[in-house]
Amino acid sequence: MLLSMCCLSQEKKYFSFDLGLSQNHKGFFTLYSGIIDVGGSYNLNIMKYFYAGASFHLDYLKRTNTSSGTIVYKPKLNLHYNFKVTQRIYLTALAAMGYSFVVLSNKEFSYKETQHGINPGVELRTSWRTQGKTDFYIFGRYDYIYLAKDDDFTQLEFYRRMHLTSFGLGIRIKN
Amino acid sequence: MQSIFFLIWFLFSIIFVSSCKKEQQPLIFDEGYLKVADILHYCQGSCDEILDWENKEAVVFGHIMDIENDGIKKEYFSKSKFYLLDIRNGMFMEVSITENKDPIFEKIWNAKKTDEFLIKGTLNAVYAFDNDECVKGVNLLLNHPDNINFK
Repeated sequence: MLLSMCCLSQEKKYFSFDLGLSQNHKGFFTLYSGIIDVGGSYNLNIMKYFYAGASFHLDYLKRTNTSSGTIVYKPKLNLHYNFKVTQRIYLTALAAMGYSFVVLSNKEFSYKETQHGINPGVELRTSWRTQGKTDFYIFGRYDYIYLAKDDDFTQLEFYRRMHLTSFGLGIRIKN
Repeated sequence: MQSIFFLIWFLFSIIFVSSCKKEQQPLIFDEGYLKVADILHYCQGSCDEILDWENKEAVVFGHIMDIENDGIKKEYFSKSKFYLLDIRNGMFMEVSITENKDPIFEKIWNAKKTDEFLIKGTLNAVYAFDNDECVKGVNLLLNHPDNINFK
């Protein structure tokens, strides 16, 4: 089956934009609900079915019925590989590495601070190829953020680790 | 070209694995102060064992929850306790007053919700049942108004 996943005609470069529902898992932000993950990327074909690109996404997390929210800015570099499934459908496996900035705020207490840390991530996409310049895809994304040490923020390893997932829809504009 | 990909993947794996492996060091309670969220996560465990934080003195940083609400303040007074809030993530812990209730409440009575407090007390294990399993949580025992400081 893996051998049959080949021979996909390749674009030299493309933009993608996507929008999904995000979710935080455990850790420091356990009382927060994920709201949205939005962003885009620019990618170049570097070898056969391999692409490399740069992306920028942001996640918005919020605590219900409060004025506190957190925005996670996620600039990343990525490598990904396309597998053809049918003439119209292909899968993309993506690995990314970035450095994220986590901006916490609580307006009620005039509180705002920024934490930051390394951000590896993986993503799977299922894309629907069209005859035109635009393809559509659904994605599932996992981001692991390991915050830089800051004893004033937390002394616990558990709280330095963030786990974010998101699922949503995107478009891919071929060039 | 393929060796470059291999190198990138290798570095990626090293960074990922090294960032996952770090062990938690024991918290130091007698230096500086700790945030409410840190105390709440660290100070828990099984009822079957004595934990390193039990009966330790600690200074905890936080905001007094609902301190501008008169009804809640009266309830705090009648129950000899109040809650210390971590405004960053909404976690809060109970502060139980064991002595000097009147002077302690006198000190915090006119506080504003944005006031930051450093409260020195004793970390006390409290028992609860989670799916029929006995687990320990924590509250802070406060016995003197001098142990309350505004940051």
